[in-house]
Amino acid sequence: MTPLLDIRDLSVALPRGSDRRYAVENAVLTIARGETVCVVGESGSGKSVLAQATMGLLPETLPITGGTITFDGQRLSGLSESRYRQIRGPQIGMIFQEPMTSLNPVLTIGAQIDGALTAHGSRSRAERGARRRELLELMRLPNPSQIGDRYVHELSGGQRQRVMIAMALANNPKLLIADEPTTALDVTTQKEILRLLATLRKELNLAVLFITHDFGVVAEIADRVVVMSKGHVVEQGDAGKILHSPRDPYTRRLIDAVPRLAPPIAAVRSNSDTVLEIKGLTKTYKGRSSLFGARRADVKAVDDVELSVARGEVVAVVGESGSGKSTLAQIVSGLLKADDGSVWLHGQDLAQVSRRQRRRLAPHIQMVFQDPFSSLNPRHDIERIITEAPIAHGVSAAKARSDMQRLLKLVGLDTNAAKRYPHAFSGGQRQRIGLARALILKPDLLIADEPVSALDVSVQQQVLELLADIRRELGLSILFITHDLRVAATVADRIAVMRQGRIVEQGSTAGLLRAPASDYTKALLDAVPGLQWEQNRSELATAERQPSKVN
Amino acid sequence: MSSGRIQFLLGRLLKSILVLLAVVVLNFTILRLAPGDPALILAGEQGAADAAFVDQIRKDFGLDRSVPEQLAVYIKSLATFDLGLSFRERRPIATIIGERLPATLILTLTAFALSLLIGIPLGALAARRPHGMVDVALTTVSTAFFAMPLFWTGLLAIIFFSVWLNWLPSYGMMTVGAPLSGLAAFLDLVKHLALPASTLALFYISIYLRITRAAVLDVMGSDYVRTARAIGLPPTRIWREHILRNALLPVITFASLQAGHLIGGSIVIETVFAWPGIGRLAFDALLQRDYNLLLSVFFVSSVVVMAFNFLADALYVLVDPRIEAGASA
Repeated sequence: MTPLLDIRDLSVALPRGSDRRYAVENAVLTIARGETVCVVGESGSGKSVLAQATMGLLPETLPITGGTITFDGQRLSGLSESRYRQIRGPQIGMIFQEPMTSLNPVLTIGAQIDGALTAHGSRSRAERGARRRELLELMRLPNPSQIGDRYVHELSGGQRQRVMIAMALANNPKLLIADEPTTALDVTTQKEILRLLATLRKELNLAVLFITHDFGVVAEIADRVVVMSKGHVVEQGDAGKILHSPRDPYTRRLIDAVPRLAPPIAAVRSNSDTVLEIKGLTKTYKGRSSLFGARRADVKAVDDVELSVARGEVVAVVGESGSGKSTLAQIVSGLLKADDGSVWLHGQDLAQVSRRQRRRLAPHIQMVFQDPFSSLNPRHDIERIITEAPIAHGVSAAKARSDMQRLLKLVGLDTNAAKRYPHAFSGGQRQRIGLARALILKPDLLIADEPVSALDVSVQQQVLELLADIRRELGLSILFITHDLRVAATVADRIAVMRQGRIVEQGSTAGLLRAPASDYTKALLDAVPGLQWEQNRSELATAERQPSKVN
Repeated sequence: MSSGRIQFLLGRLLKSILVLLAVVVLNFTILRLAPGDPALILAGEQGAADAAFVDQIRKDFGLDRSVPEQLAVYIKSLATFDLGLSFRERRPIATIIGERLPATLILTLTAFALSLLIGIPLGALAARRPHGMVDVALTTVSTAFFAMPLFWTGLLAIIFFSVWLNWLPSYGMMTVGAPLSGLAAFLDLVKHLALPASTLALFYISIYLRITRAAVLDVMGSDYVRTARAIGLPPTRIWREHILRNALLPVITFASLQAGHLIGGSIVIETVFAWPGIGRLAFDALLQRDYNLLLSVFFVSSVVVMAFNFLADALYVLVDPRIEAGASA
């Protein structure tokens, strides 16, 4: 049987002056009817360019220079824009990563789904209304008869993505292209969307081209996997085969870099020396009252939180968006003031000290931030970025410079990095710079706020390993904020799970993962994509280590 | 319209009134802090500088009372829509402003309408093919007009259209002494209006062009326009339903700012083209220390600013559903 989508030797050129000539080079990919194919790769691998090329949405700066795209017997590459429009919608639907910005903020979602329906063929108003309700029901959206009158900002992230899917499927396409559709979502929401896609696929016999960087997600949904790197397809084949016995070394590295949901070594907590002690910490965001009418409800961002970090210990605070984990980090670091409770550092209550004293205590608590691109001043060279704080706290410039040299080496950067500017470094290197900047003050506590969330999985692994090394070497205490249980499991001695401002559960990493007490932790663990795959992998690994038992 | 949005607008209205009150108080005090005694100037102009006469003038205009008292009297009369008498002309200020206001409004509203009607479409046109021929031509010309001082553009226009071509009159609002009525009078006004209004409009057209161009380009690159393409919407509908409506938001912001200048923003043009408007009136009142008149001009223009800001808020509410009570745009 001929495949539904047949991409042959596709090449897409990059603008002159880029780091390589082709965004995609000689890519080959086929999808059969009703099949789900995952294209996996890190940023810059060309996976999204492949999707856009199929949809005819490439910007003019990225022209197709070779190869063909054939869909259902029709050649798509080289099709005129007006003919392509007949493909988009009735033949191929597409959804994107950011459900918030992918929908028009000034139109109701009903109007936008209507737009998708009227774009192809005329249907009567009544027919459209019926189809819209049908779609919203199919997406399992609440109140399908009323939700059409809502605007995008009134929906949750998961609901927005369901609306996107409804629009993409409005005209019964045979293929759905999903470009990182769950990357911006919380893990429990991601699970729901993946489940919805699986159901739709079966109900509608839909083929899916799923672009992702996450092997956990791949393990959940893929029939076949295509691995891309630097514009090339390095390996493709059955999902089971690639996930369990990848042949290509790059694929193997990528899979090995996925953090395991099992703690590496059970670290013992030295409860003798407590560095940080948080007691009854509370922060309420007051609902703003307008001049007329009702006041908005207050939001307890942090609600009676108790947490401590011992010397040399890594404590991960895990939670979904809105759980209050970042507010907590900001209060501890002194960027926000708590309403109630205390933050003890070395026997001094940070919540009570004056601004001036707090500034003097700043070197004791340092932060590493999530976004490596916006957290370094682009107009300062690395030397200035790293030595600014110690010099401000009275260290001589010469001493600060020699400290910097030592730290650059410690974080694995060349010392001649000092005179260069942030734009010369990759995301992972910038996080290393951020780490050096934090460590030069010899803090007692490092607060790491989602420090690897913006990084590709292989870079993420390197930064996590670096953090582990430094912690061993310096005996550093780390408060590690993350949304990713896998990451938490690899770095933390203890995990605290936050939800709606409260810590619902905390305990040793091994204990919490093995026997979660609260329902929410169970749900979170259950939502981690690729669990079954991971279990099989570790069983396989155990089997390999102990061949006699298997026999 | 939802109750949240009505609440939002009511809140904005109340705030506008409070701001207006603050502006009145500020204007009043600042003016009293400036050097110069209106009673002395008035007395001097009438050729009598003896102390009794000056005192009489002070008494007549309430200038003998303390500043807070004067302020209280002033606010009280404003609240009853009484602008008082001009120190100098001894006529009701409402009448004086009433005589001058129409001339200014005709000039500025024409320029306002022209700049919106021409600037926005040109900006959208320029954005269709960024860095294309049309775009480069439009942005270059608009930069030139934006960079040229208004009086200079005005003088060039006079030299070209009045002196060389002799097509249009270069000063005034109508032909003096011509017994015109009806259509003829209207055409006469249009002829006089043409140069000052288009000079003023050219400046604003350049700004609207650039704001619209930038906004359209911004929206064109947005994710939801990509979505619109991905569902196969034709380009005309993408423009109408997705790009233009969102791109208009920053344009509305600027239009409300410009509208606030409808009264005070044309002093230069009124001077160059000898246009009998309110800008000249304010300038003269300042030189003559005609406090009451000056304050009233300020007051009227503040009211206009507030009114247009409020109008812009109302427009936002219509265009952008994200605005609710307590939320900001």
